[in-house]
Amino acid sequence: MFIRRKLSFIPLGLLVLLSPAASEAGYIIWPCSGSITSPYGPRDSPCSGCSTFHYGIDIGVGSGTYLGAPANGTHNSWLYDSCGGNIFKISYGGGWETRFLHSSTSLVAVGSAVTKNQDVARSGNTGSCTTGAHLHFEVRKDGVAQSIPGADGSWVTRNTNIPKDYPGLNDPAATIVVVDNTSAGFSVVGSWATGSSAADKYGADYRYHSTAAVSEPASWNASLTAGTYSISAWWPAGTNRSPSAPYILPDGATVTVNQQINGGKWNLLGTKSLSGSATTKLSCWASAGYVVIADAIKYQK
Amino acid sequence: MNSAKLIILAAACITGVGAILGYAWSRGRQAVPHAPRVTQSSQQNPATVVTPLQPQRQPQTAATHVNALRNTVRLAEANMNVGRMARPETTAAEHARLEAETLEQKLVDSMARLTEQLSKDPGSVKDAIALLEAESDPALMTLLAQAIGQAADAMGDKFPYDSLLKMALNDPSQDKRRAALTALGYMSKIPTELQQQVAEISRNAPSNELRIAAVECLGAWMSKNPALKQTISETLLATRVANEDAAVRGIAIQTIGNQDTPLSRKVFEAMADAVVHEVAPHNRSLAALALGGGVGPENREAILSTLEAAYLGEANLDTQRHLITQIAKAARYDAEDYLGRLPTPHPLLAQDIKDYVEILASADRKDWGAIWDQKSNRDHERGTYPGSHGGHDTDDH
Repeated sequence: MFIRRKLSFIPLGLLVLLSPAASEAGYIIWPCSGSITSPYGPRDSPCSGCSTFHYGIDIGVGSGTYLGAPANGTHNSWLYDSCGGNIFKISYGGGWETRFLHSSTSLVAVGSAVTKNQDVARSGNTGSCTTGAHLHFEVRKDGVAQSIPGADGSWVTRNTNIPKDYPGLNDPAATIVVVDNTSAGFSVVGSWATGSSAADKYGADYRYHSTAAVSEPASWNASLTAGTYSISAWWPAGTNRSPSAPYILPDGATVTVNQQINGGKWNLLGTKSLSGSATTKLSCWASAGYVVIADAIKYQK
Repeated sequence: MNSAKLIILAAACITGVGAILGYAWSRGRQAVPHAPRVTQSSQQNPATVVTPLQPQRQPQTAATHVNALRNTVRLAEANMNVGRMARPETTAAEHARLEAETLEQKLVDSMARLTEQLSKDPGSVKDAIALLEAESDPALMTLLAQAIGQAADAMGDKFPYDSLLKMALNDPSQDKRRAALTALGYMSKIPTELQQQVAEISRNAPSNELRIAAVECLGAWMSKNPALKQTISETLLATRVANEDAAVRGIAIQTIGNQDTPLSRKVFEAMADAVVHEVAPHNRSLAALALGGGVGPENREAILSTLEAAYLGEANLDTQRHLITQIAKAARYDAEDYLGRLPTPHPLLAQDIKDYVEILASADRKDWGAIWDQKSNRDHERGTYPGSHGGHDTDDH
């Protein structure tokens, strides 16, 4: 109904300036604009069940306000908590994560890579530990809450830096590339059917092929800057899946996984030094009587 | 928007006419997007007179961009008030939301233009610092400070840090002093004298807020200058000792802990003291984080013994849980041995140890981030994330 207008005012030549520069390595951005209504630190408990030490920062925004990802990362949890309401969590690696509490809506699937300032959720008033619509925003490392600067009543603006360095959280060299079965980098040889009924799939659907002694692989290709990457696979699990589905990594190494278990999450296949075009394949050449599932591959530097 | 206009608009919204007025206001604003504005602060200070934006062909100055920023910040603040007073799910509320998006984009655009201007034209940085000195809006001070700071690398030795340091040391406005420290935090090459002066602010400034801003400036320098990590870590130890306030002490510990660098003997001893003797439980958790992230080949056994002893003497459940996490992180390759001998007086502690043993059994132990992600997600799914009530922690268990 309403057209989103992100980046519409920014001349192309300025986009470079908005990407993380060396001097911005540890700086993340505010996820929304508004006034700080409860800063980080000691406070009087504002409601039953609320804490006397505020391990996040409250920004006064109405329900439905779009919330931007503070940095590039992976959305890895969206759950309801009786006090914190809908909690939207993003992981950045190295133990770093951010959380939006009391949210109303998630805009991305669990497991998705998110980019800095991408709309990822909407604010709300969910959970019992809230006295009105607002965003409770946290930065944590290994689960330990980190301070977030900002005085009570001060104004913050989305997509501008939080004036504090969180080393390692916004690493400009970090790269996450997810190739889904609907992405341009995905291709198949032979006849792969499309399925969508599994709840723990990545994205809208996935492809599958009966196990057989034929060379008809599915491939996930990405163009990567040089570096060491962890390569992970996502599949929807099921009893008819191959217990030894063979993934072939870019260096030719084969890793077999049991697709009957560990569905709906990223499963590490290996860590490799990659540069330029990198392709991971899934072969259907395995013990007969099952299917292999081709859903998504993640390359993370 | 002046206050009279805001009150009239708010009243209109409450009585149900707000939808129409809000729409008309929004459309009117779009028709004259850069209308001249005369504000209270501009009347007080000639240096901040708000002028219309010049057409693109006119020379752009720092003042032009700052004026654009100021206009947008004020419009955004006023629009936020309109949005919050409008009834949810009404046209007025939706228009306020869309207007907020437009203003956010304009603000980011203005920031980008200002940053570009300052990076291209070093002379304009001094103008921008003068504008910061004359500014009265704390929100604008922070934005202006960030734009000034981001020009530091482009200017190198010519960056006029002395003006910012003077502001950080002497300005009567606490907000301005904090903004100056924010700008200084962007520098990569740090003269020794500047480092010493900011360290002094972290120990002896008149307010805790200012001391915290100085600690955060020192932390930013550490991240950009691996060679300074040792010196600044030791500076932050002195900051911790010099401050009685738990928040300042905690942020000093946190800043050391976030570096993930093997701790020197001096820093290790201070963190070993902090993990036991800090009064605030959260500060003890931050010290545990510093120890767990500070493991190197020479101090591994000492750090693990310290974490284990701290766990045995710790009474706060959250801190006990964080200590388990840091033992798992520090031990990593033989964590099962360390975790297996810890007493578990609370079921959550037993659960944490069980989680780590299970996760480590199939994890790539080099990748702590992946291990933590699994643990974090398990706690999210069970509602047992560190701290009760979904993260609204209480200190009293």
